[in-house]
Amino acid sequence: MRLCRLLFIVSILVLVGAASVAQAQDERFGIVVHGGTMIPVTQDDNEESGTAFGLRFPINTGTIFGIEPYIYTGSGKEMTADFGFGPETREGIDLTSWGANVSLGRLVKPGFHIAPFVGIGNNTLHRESGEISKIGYNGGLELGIAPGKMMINLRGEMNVVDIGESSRKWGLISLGLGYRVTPNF
Amino acid sequence: MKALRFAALLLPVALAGCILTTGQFNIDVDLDDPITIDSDQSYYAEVVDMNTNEDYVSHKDDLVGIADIALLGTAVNTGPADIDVEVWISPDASKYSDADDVRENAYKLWGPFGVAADSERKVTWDDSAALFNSTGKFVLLEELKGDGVFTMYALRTTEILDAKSVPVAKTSGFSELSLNEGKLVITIEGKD
Repeated sequence: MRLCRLLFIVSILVLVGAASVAQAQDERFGIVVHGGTMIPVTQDDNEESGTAFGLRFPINTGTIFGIEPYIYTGSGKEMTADFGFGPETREGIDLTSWGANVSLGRLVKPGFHIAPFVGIGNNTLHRESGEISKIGYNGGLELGIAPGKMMINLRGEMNVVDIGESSRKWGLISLGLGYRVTPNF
Repeated sequence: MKALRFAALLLPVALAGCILTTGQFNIDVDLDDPITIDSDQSYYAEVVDMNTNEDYVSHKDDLVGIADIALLGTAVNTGPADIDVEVWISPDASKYSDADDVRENAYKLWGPFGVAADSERKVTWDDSAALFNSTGKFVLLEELKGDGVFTMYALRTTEILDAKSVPVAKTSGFSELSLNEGKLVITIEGKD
């Protein structure tokens, strides 16, 4: 059910993006599959880095800003700590995030690009002991090259999930492989 | 345009710097070792003064919440009946007279954690973190934000079975329980 809801919302965002592309015939959008590492920041109860995979849908808007709906899921890794009576283990926190980024500069273009971006999204943090869904904020930088229709990009970003009076934070480093699409509307 | 791009490059860095001032920090509290409830006792009480804990003192002023708590150790049941272990909390250093008094006036913090007759069971971090009660957690948070002194009670409950082995009541007696190498691990939300 949750996956269906996520796919629905991502589809809506992609359609909105496609509509904006349709208004600017020479513009393009893309689809990027990415994977990388998810690094917890200042989380004593969730210290180990995990893996993250997802999809991004960068869209040129015809302005200096690009928009990019995204979804990814990350698996937290079990950590070990010693409180004086031998090692104790704690399961990692799994993270599912979806939302949209806004970039300064186009994320879909031929050649090389550097683009800073910020974004907002819904984040579900899951452990066996409980699950919460909260708003989170992203920010980072993408380096990309696009040989032909392909896109290759390297991205570093910070995801900050607002959990009330505090936050849980992850750094994400990901490598993406994508395809540029020129729609024939 | 250049200024705008430069500002956008700096924005995530500034954002990261700002938000990095908060995080989750573990505070581990040594409990009496062992904690023992003999068959003629109904509970065990321990006054905890967090002000003797360096980690707590260094984060006390920045503490905004509790992210995770766990009671660790090994529970040993030397009696002939299965028991459930519970931990209760009262927000001061006073001690109640018996288990019924504790249940009436204190707040349940953790449990139940089942230990079979004549056996021992390790309380793991994952299992333990799932057993905390939200009301007790709130009381603990208020105490951590306040004077840092509270009383923890360990109670053991034994079910009384009828002729068909159906539970008909619970009592705080019969079996001897001990918790060895007990630790309370509190993961606080605070500033770095």
